[in-house]
Amino acid sequence: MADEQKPDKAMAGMLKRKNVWPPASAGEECPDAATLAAYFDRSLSASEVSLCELHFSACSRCQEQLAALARSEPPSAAKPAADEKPAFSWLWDWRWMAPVGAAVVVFVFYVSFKTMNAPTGSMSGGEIVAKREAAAPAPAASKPEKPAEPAPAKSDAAADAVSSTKTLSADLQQKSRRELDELHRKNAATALEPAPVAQALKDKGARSAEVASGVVASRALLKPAEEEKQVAAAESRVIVAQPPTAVVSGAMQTETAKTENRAAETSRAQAVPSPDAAPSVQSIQKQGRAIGAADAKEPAAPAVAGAQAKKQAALKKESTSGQQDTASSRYALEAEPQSKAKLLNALGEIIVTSPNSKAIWRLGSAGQIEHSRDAGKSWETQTSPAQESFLSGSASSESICWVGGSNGVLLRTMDGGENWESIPSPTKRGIVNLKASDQLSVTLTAADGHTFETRDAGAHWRAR
Amino acid sequence: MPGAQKLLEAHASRIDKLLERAEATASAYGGVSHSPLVDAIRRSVASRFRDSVPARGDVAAYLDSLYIEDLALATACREASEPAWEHFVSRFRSDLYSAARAICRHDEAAARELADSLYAELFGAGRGASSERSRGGGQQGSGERRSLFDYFHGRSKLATWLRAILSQRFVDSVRASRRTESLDDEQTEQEVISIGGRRVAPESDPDRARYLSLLQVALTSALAALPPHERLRLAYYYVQDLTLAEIGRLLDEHEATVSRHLDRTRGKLRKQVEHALRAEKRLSDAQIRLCFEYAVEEWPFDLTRALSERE
Repeated sequence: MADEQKPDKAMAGMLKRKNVWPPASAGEECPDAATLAAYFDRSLSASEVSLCELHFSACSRCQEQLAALARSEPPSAAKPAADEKPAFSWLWDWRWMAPVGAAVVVFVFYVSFKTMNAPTGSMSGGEIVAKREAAAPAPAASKPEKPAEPAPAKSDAAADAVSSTKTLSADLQQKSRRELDELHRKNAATALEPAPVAQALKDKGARSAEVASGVVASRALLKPAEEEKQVAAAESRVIVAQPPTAVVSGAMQTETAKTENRAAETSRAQAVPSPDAAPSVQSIQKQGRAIGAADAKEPAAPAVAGAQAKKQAALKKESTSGQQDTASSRYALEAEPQSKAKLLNALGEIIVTSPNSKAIWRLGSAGQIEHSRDAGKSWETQTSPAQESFLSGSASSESICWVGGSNGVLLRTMDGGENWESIPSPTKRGIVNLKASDQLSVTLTAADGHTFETRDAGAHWRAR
Repeated sequence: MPGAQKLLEAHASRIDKLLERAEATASAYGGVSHSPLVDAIRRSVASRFRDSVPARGDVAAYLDSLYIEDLALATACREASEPAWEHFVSRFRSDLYSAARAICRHDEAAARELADSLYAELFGAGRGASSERSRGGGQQGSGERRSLFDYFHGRSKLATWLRAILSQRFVDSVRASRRTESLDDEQTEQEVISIGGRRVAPESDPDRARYLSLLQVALTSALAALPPHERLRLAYYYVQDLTLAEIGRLLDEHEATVSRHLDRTRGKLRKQVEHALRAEKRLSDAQIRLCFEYAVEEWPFDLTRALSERE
């Protein structure tokens, strides 16, 4: 053993022995349980603490009691020590935060600077104008190479276009500005975030690539400050054509993609005002079905014929009514007469309708059930015994409804949802399809493809 | 304390606010009568300022620091309110048993007995005292049974107070059954020879016993000279075998702080011991080293293992 450790070991060994410790003063009473508890909870005054500790330091009985008290405290009840630093307090140490913060600021400025040169739709018209005007020389100076892909073409062609379009008639600018302002006001009302047009459209297929090019080309007609406004306006029209929710199911997305493309083309064509820029306009017309109007007109409902136009108009009107996530508007999205039994609305919720369409149940995740007795005008939340996500439902009448969910969860109500009861399920897999005949009879299909039916409300099941 | 009532009267508005706070939580168990609660507050103030005249603002600060919600529940239980008892049981019973298990170091039988006896005493005494009060019409005197809840003054949480009672009872029962070492032996050089129950063989080193006794006396003096807070920290660590976290909880310090202070105190003790041996007992450095060597042989202590287990 090292010589320097011997004194420490000697001391430690001796400190373990109680007879080295000075005894408590004779006649001194130990504090009662209330005082011990108050000391432990740090409720004593400073003078009381000093007196107590003077006694505790010499009284093994009190030390043992306090030791037992410390052992018995639940971990969750422990309070942080007075000198304890909060978790991750090292994060707020200026010695490393300062240089890192400076580096982050520089990086942000660099990214912002680069972003300003690239066309985006995420900025408002005003911001775009301000940034464009501030950075006007830069895009001209930075000419990227000729694009070979649609995505690069977006930014590269835009840079080229910006540098080549310096003039535009004053009235054209004013009209464009008015049009853009109106669109942005509508966008603000619906709280929709215009996504980058070219990128959004590109995601919807080859056709989108052409449109994207067209967008870029159209932007080439305008002065940089206005070009972004036009893009934003076109974007907003595209967005307006989408359902007013962020989540769009796959089927609907495909369906709306084509509509959006046509709507975007038409809108852009309408927004292209200048006959002076005929060559570029014609190029757009070649790429799309642009109308080529001379003056920018009020972007009314997209000039797409047929049911699609009506739907677009309905959706646009719906989205411009403000941030009203009302039941009626949500329900209106899925109000297709031919598919009442089970619909998936824009939020991924299951819609189950009674045969007479008066009663509707809306099934969500985590066991959520909502019910409407007036065809979706008003909704009430119902108490569900399940916590799982629902996958299917079937209503045989206004009062009888069966719902199935993950892990074989199967519920039934016979009073319109006032009470939901769990029904014994033949499967532990998710129930993806239900067909109810009445309150006793139902046929279900599990996620593994097996089908079962019961005629006695789940007491017995028969595989089909 | 006769002035307690006057003190309360001087802080009537503060008392009213306390009663409002109490009512807000007492609604969960049917409320609590104001009169017994005010009486409980009066007893609490009297207990606090029993030995001193409160300075200005002390009473107000004291009243504000009360755990009035817990005091209200204890008062309601003392008044044998059934809803209050149900609330007490649902809230505290399981924690009481968990605490007893921890105190008894997971001896289930001892823990259950400890918790059951306390619970029975609280329940039975509370009801008995209430009955006597209702029969006697508030008669004071030796005939009235005091509820255990009378000793809860709201200076701590009710849960902590219950655990403190458990701790006290457990320690007292262990100390009563333990063969205790004499804590009041005077430390003399001659008596140290019998430390550890072994007589030191005189032929090995005639100075061995003397060195050991000198070392022990020097250490005791050094400990007595320590501030109480430092001495308490050392005692928790070496005598009570508490972990750094437990010591920190008791002393309101972080574990790292406890460890740092322990190291510093050990170093301070060592310097004081060596100084005392050198300056007062005129020992040389070699003799001092011998003192420590004999101490290690006499009272072996695996410092490294102990520190690693605790930290």
